Amino acid sequence: MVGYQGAEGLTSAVTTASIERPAERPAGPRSDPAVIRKRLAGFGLLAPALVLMFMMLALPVVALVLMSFWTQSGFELDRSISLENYRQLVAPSDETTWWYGIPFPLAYPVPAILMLKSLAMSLVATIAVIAVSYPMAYFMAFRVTRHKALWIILITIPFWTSYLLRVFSWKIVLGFNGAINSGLKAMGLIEEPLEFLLYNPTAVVITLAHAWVAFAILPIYVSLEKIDRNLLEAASDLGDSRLKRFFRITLPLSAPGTIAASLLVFIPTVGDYVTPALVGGPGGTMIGSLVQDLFLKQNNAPLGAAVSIVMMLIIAVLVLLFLWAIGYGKLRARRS
Amino acid sequence: MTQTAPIIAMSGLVKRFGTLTVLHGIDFNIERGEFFSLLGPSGCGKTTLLRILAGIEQPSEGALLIDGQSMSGVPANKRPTNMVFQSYAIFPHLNVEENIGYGLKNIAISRAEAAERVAEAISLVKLEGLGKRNAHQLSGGQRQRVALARALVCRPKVLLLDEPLSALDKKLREEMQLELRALQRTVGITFVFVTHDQEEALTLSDRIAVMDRGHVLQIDTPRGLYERPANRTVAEFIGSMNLFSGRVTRIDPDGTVEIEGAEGTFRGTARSGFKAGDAAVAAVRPERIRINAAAPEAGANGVSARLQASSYLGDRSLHVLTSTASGQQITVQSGPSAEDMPAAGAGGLWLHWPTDAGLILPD
Repeated sequence: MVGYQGAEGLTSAVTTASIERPAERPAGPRSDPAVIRKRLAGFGLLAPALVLMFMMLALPVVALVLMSFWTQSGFELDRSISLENYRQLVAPSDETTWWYGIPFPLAYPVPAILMLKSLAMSLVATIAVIAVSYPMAYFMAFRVTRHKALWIILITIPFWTSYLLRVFSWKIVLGFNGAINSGLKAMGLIEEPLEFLLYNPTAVVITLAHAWVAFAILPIYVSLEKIDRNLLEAASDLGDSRLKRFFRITLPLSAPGTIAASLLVFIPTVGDYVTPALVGGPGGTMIGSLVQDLFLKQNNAPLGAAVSIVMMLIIAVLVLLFLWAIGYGKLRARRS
Repeated sequence: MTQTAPIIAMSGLVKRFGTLTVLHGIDFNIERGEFFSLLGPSGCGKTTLLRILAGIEQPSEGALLIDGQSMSGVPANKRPTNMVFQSYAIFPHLNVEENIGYGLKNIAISRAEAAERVAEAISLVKLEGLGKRNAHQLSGGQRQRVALARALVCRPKVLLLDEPLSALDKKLREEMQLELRALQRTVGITFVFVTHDQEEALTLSDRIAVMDRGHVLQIDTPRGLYERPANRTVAEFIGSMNLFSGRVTRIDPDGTVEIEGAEGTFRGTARSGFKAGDAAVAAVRPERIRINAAAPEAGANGVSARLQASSYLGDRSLHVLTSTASGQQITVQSGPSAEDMPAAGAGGLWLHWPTDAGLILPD
C-alpha cells in the first residue's frame, strides 16, 4: 500500500539522522578538481539508492498527492483538481458521533476515529516494545561478556520466518481453541475459552509488539554498548546507588537509541493493515485498513489517497512535536 | 580513632582475575594528609590496587581499613574516597557545573550549600566562567580540572588519582604537577596517586610505593628511593643507574661490602644482609662518577673504560663509555664545561667513585 510505504520512508529518514553525524565538508575551494572528483564519486555511489528512492518513494508520494485532489463518483474518475476529498474528511455535521466518550461532530467520522485509534494502538504497542526490548538490550550490553554475536543472531531469528507466518502463529496462540485457551482449560482454570484474546485491538497490539521487538533491541543495544564503563564507575564513586546511577547516567545516555527505536516502531505501525486484517477482527481495524478498503473495495482511490496524506502529515507533526518536547537536538549536541 | 592512625591500612591484599594473580599480598599503610604515589610499569597492579581502595574492585583476600573502618563489603558509593579517572569520565550529557555537583546530590546538604561548594570548587581548579560549558567543549586540561573538582567537592577522606596527567602534553603536565601539589597542601586531603612516570612521582610525592608484578618492592621518600634503592629493579626504575655484577668477597663491620666481578672489585654500602659468595651488584649513579686519566689508589672503586660518545645538554654533559674488561656500557654525567669533558675517542680512561656513592644490592 502506498500510504504504508510513505510512512516507512519517513522512518528510515528519522533513524538515519539519529545515527549519523553531519559529515565534515572537505577542505579546499569548490572549484578544486580533486574536490569535484570526490563529490562526483560520492554522487556515483549514491546514484543507485537515489534512483530507487526517486522511483519507489518520491514518485509514488507525488502521485498520491496528485490523486488526492481528484474525485471519484461511482466508476467515473474526475481528474480536475479539487479539495473535495479533504473537505469530506473534515466536513462538520449536526449529528455527533461518540467514540469512547470523545465527540466527533463530523459527517464522515470513520477516518478521524480510526486515525485516533491507530495512534493510540501504536502508542501502546510502542510502549510495550520499549518495555520489553530495553531490558533485553541492557542484558546484552552489560551482562553478556562472551558470544555477543551469537546473541545478536538469536535476536534476528524471528526474521527467518515470514511476517504472515508470525501473525498466524499468534492466531494459534490466542485463538478460540488456541494454546492459551486449551492450556487454561486443561489446568481447569476456565470452563469456556476466553473470547477476548483474539480479534480485537489487544491482539493487534500484542502481535505488533512481538513483531517489532527485534527492531527496537538493536538501536537500544548500540546506544547502551557505547556508554563508557568508566562513567558508571565514576557515578558509583560519587555516591550513586545502582538504581540512581541507572536513572542519572545509563538512561539519559541511551536516550538517543531508545528514541530512535520508539520512532522506528511507532511510525510504521500506525499505518499497518496486515496485522489488524488477520488478528484484529471487526474491532481491531486501523487507519491502514481503511486506506486499503478505500483503494481496493470501495473503489475510491482519491479519498484513500487523501486519507494517506493526512495520516502522513499527522505522524510527521507528532514526531516533530515529540522530538522538540524532549529536546532531542540538545541531546544530540551534547553527545561527544 | 586518633588523628595519628593511618588513613589507609592494607594487610595481605590479594587480587586474582581467574587464574591470574595481579596482587600478591599487599601490606602497607598510608598516613593522613600524605601525597602518596603508587609507581610502577604498566601491568604492575597499581591501578588494580587503586580500584580496590575505591571499592570498584573487591580484593580476593586480605583486609582494608580506611580511617579505621573495615571496607569489606562496603560498595564504592558508600566509601569516603573519590576518584579521578585516567579518562576523566566526564559525564557527556551534563555541563561543567552539573558534573562537579554530581556527587553533592547524594549528600544531605541544601541546594544553596551545594551551589556554593560547586562555585568554590570551580574557583579552586580555576575554571571560572566555564560552568555552563558542555563536556565536549572542554580541552584536555580543563576536563582534568573538572574531574578533580568533581571528586574534591565531595570532601573525601582520600582522593584517588589514576594517572590523571598522562593524557596531557608535557608542558601542561608539568604545570598541573605543581598545581596538584599546591592543591593537596591547600585542601589537606590524603592523595593516592597512580603513575608510571618516575619523574612525576618524585616531583609530587611525600612517599612512593614502587610496585612490580603485583608486589611492593619498596616504600620510601623520593630521596630514599633514589639514594637507597632496596634492590636492582628499584635502582633501575628510579633514575638511571650503572650496575656491575659480581660476588660478595668481604663484609666489613661498618656495613661496607666488597664484591668482585668482571670489571674489578667494588666497595659500597649495603642495606640488606649479605654473606660471602652471594651474587650481588655494585650500583652507582652517573652523576657520582668522575672521569680520570689515572687509575684509582688501591682499594678505591675504579673501572677502566673507553669513551664512546659525549653529549652536551647545556646544564650538564652525558658521556657513554664501555668498560675495557667486558664491553659493558657505562653512563657518566659531568659538569657542562670543556674541562669536565675528556677528549673523544681517548683510550685508557678511569672512572672513579667514592665508597659511599656505591651501593651493593642483591642481584
